Amino acid sequence: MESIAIAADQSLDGRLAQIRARDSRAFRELVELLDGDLLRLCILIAADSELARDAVQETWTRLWTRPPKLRNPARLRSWLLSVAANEVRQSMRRARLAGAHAPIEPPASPQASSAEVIDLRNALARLNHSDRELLALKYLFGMDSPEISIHLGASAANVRTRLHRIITRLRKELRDDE
Amino acid sequence: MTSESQFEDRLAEGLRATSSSPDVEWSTDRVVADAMGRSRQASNKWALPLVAIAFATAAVLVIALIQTTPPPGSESGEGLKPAGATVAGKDYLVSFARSLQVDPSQITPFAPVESTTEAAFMGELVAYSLDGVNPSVALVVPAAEGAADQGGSIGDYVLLVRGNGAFAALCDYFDPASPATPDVCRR
Repeated sequence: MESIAIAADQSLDGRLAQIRARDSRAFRELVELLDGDLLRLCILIAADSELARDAVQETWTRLWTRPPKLRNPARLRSWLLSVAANEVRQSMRRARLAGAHAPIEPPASPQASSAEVIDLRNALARLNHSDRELLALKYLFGMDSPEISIHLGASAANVRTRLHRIITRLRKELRDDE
Repeated sequence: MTSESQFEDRLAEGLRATSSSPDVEWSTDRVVADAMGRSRQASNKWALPLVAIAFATAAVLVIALIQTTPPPGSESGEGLKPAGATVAGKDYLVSFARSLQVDPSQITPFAPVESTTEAAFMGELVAYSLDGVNPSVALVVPAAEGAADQGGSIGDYVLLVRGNGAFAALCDYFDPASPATPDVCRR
């Protein structure tokens, strides 16, 4: 399975220290490397590209303003993904409370025009946001169950069970749509 | 290739297409400028209110100190509010656990610390879940560098706990031989 290429976490080792030292070039390079990934994750969770953009922007602002003190700097990518996911979930909650969030409708894009992708988009829209997050971690970022379990704070067995359930459901729904 | 792996390949491809949204993919320059601009705005925006709050707090503390300083020899600390923190809408008690042994690979960012009475001891206002521990029961927050109380260094992490039995859920992270370990985890 091909997943979106992510630079090895080890390459981020020194980056956090540079950002803590207010190195704007290091910050820029990190944005260049990971902004697209954070955005994809948030779009899949929220199914709202504007909320996703805001959440990712908040994540970068937070990194620049209050860089974390991670014991293991190689976990910076994981930290960013977690913070972005958390930000977008909070935005969704606020939008729901304000009554402003429309029913889930994933954004259209030129790449997302084939019938198959439209069917998938509709099937994804019927999943809850935590299931979409799980799919993103597995199929966009190529994480395995133990990695996802660390990311989500759940057990690896729970992650495997949920993934199996989601895939079974999607297969059924997409076959039904054919 | 099995039909299952074919389906997963199609799914990955579909997810990439679905999660692509060129209309909100900003240039790197714009993302960086916005992040840095917002951090400056935030510091400017809060500068005056923070100074005002600092003055007000200092005044209140001075008055409180004058009114509550116990007479020599009396017990101090009675009536103090418990140290607390709110994370993801839930209230936790803040605890220092010097014998807690946590490897960074065992923690995962959980949620921001929304409010706390003990911010001075926290190195970042982010709570982390511990592998194998229900985050509704216990979380940790990295301690501020050099954070210490009367008993000396508070260790690497500040512990946030909720409900009875929280410490029992953490026994895997305590050194059973340490005198600072909670009784429930001593062997």
